[in-house]
Amino acid sequence: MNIFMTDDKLIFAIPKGRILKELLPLLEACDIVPEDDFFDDKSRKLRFETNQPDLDIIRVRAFDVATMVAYGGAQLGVVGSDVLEEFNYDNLYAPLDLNIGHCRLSIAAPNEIADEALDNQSHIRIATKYPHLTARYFAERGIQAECVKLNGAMEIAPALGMVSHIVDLVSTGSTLKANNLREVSTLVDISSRLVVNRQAMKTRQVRMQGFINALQQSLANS
Amino acid sequence: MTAQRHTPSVLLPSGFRDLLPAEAQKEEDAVRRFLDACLALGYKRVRPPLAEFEDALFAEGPGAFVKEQAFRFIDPVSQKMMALRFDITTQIARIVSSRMADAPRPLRLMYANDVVRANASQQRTDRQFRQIGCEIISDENNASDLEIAVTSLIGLEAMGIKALTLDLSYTKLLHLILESYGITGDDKDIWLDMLASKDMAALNARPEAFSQALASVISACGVPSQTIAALKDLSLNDQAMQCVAQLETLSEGLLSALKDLGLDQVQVTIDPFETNGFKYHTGICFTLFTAQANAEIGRGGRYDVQGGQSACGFTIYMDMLLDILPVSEQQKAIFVGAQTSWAQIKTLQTQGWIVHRAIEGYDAPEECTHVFDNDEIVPNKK
Repeated sequence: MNIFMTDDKLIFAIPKGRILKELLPLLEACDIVPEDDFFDDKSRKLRFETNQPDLDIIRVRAFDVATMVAYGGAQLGVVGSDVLEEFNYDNLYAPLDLNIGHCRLSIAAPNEIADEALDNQSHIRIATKYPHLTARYFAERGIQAECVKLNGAMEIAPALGMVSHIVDLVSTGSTLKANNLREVSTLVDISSRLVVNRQAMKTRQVRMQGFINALQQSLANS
Repeated sequence: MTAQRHTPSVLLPSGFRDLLPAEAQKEEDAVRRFLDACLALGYKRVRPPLAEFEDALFAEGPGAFVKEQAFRFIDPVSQKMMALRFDITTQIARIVSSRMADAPRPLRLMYANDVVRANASQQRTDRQFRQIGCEIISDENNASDLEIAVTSLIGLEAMGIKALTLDLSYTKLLHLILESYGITGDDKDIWLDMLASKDMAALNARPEAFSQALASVISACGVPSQTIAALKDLSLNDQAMQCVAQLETLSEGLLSALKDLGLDQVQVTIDPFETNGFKYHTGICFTLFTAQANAEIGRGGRYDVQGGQSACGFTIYMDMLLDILPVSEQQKAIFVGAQTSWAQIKTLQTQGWIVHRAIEGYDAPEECTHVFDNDEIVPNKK
């Protein structure tokens, strides 16, 4: 038996917020239960033990999950396919679609101009959290996209005259509506993926594959 | 007097760094142990130049795939474009197809020199680092494939790197598998992408019946016997089956060699869908990992060199190992007075001491545990 396969703990990075609620039942189905502190909103801890002695959970921002796993800080993670496409890390495998966290990445514009065809433009100014994905999408259509990177509240940017369009996550569309914006088209449909670190997959293959298989099984049963 | 610090002027370009004494020594010691181990297997040292004309560096073979990685500039003398080497394998390929074209085969060569590349990667931020490795130039055969893989592990072991994994892959087999299932053209890239990122979600969503079979190989990837068994379950053409047999022979040979060497703790795995970075390789390839580092530490495999010759080799990236190399053993040091004779210094050195001669105005350095006083070795009281 290889000493390093049981040597240190596997770290599982999961995002805060909406996706977490959908993820917990899946984890429970493959017998992963975080310690009580994990559910305590007042806890300042970032790293939590689980009922499995060789598995710890860290809770980080959705965008940071991919980075943590790509750099080997965590061996496993749950990440939206939007983040994977934005960063395009080559040190990650994405073996499972967890079928949670469904939403779409869409272009939206103020109601008054939402009907204007994008194809007629050679240049467009867009506020987004996803500059690479957005630029790539428009480049494929021969449109020069100038992206203004914002980290939140992009819905306000068109009204303030910063940009004509935004590219953002849409699930119900109510935020868009409230800001007089309308969805023009969808860039990509999104769901959460299990990602694993390439080195960990090679050096601790048995344990990692065991984890993936367990999760796949609980997905199939859910 | 204190030296003045001009902070801005000591900053180096990103990806370049100074190795200070402890680290530089650690690297040097490790490289020496590596080279000694390879020398004892008959590998001969070569030292190609730091810069070359770019048309030679980017010639067919390994060089043709890596052009965008080089620092390029104009030679003031010839007015031709030159490039700093970014990979020594390309230089070896040039040497063996030109100057050493007539040297008897098999030809075993080794190297340990710095390379410079224009772009760092996410996991490897150094733009200058030492590349060490070996090449065997011979006809394509299993014996040299096996030897080169074993040598890489002997070398890493000699440097004191633990928890090693050698992951075998075979790009040619991957393409033959796709061919066996009639996947060609644009479709092929989609399949290669799915397999390379182990995207079982995408595979399971495909209408083709064989996508399930490929997904099951992904789940079985790793332990050689399991992976080989899973590959044999696929309906493959004859050529692909031959490649599977080749992988089986090599993995079995490797496991028994490691047992012989007392290196059973090295993990051997197979990932037939790995393509990461193997652009110019034509035969079986491998990637080297250690549980101690967060990115691959080296790779190897078989490739074609100019003039229809075949070669196999491996290369190890010292930038990945710097942090995990064992600390060099501290040799005992002694402080001697300035009047001590050089003959006496020589005698002390043969006894295993590092000798620090006194320089007027300075005390014995802290690292000297002893002082040579009145022809006697006494402890340094400070």
